[in-house]
Amino acid sequence: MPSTLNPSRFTLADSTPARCLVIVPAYNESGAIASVVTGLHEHLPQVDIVVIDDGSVDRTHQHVPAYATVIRLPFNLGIGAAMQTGYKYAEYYSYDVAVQVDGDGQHPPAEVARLIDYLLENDCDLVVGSRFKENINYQQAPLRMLAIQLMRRWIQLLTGRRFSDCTSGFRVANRKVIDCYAHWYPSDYPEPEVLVLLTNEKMRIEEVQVHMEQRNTGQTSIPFFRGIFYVIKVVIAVLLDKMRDPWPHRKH
Amino acid sequence: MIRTLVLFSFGILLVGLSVQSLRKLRLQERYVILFAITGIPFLAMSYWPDGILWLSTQMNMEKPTLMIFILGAFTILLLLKLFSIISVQQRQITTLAQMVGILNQKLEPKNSQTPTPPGSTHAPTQSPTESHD
Repeated sequence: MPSTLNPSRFTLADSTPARCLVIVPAYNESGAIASVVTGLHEHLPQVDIVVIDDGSVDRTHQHVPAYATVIRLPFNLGIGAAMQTGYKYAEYYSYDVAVQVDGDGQHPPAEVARLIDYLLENDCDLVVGSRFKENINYQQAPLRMLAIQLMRRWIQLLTGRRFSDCTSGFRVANRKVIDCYAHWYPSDYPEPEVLVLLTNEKMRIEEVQVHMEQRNTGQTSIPFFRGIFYVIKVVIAVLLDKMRDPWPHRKH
Repeated sequence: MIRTLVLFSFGILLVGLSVQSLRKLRLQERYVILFAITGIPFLAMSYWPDGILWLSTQMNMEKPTLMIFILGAFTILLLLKLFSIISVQQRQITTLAQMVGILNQKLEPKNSQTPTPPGSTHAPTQSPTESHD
């Protein structure tokens, strides 16, 4: 369960302390999860951390330090459903801000506070930690870069907005977005899709340049050959997203 | 004769399998009715092989093969219905699994030793078992 021991240093527009939750989805990340959670706790002792163990078979949950909450899903649901579990938890406990941080150590804990500050100070609905906003040299496989470029252009065509890093999973959301995600969240490769869906909802999305680490342990969620399928699927999915309304409750 | 035998066997197989599935609780009544109704035309055709020709004539179809097209369209509609049922149920299973994870976390001893829950100032906004899907 969440903690209220440490007062948050983050404040909302009405000067009340913002309750923040870091959501860390993890699937077979026993090698990295302890350092990720420890790093988050050291940099942000005032925020709660929930690790979503998405049916790992390598006892990932046993490597999570005691100050973080672990939700163990009964079987592997996939990244979208695992992430949505964290948002459901955030909605259930009325958190003001939710942060997505990958369990593989790619998202540096030192950058989280900056993203939260940016969200609260600029009254954004979603802030995306971007690897490419300021053209900083970030090592990526050429094919992966090509796929990101293609999706970037496609999303720009559909929404009229340019997102420099539409696949980044390093994100901070406010309560409005938490509520949306808890009700519905794409299942397979959610990052590009939610950008389109939230733009449809006229949410305020901003990008902030962050430094990300290269993956050191575990396995990538998108292997090379599945990458081709990934691009095709996302291209079709975001097109369909232009036609659907996954959060009808917001209109009532 | 062979055509009659094949049509009769297929019709009996459809009706028999659907009834058997109902008895073993593997198929809901609505699907049993659907498959039983699908099997009846085959039984009728085995008794009256020229029935398809008669039906085609009645429907002003110049070629009886158009009936096969209609059958294919019916099958595709059936598949669409079944996939939509699977999709809804998959989402419902996901929601259930998420709720199991959240509720388990509340029950596990390790988590009951962690710092104070938010209950005093931030009560849960809804039941954790409430589904959004």
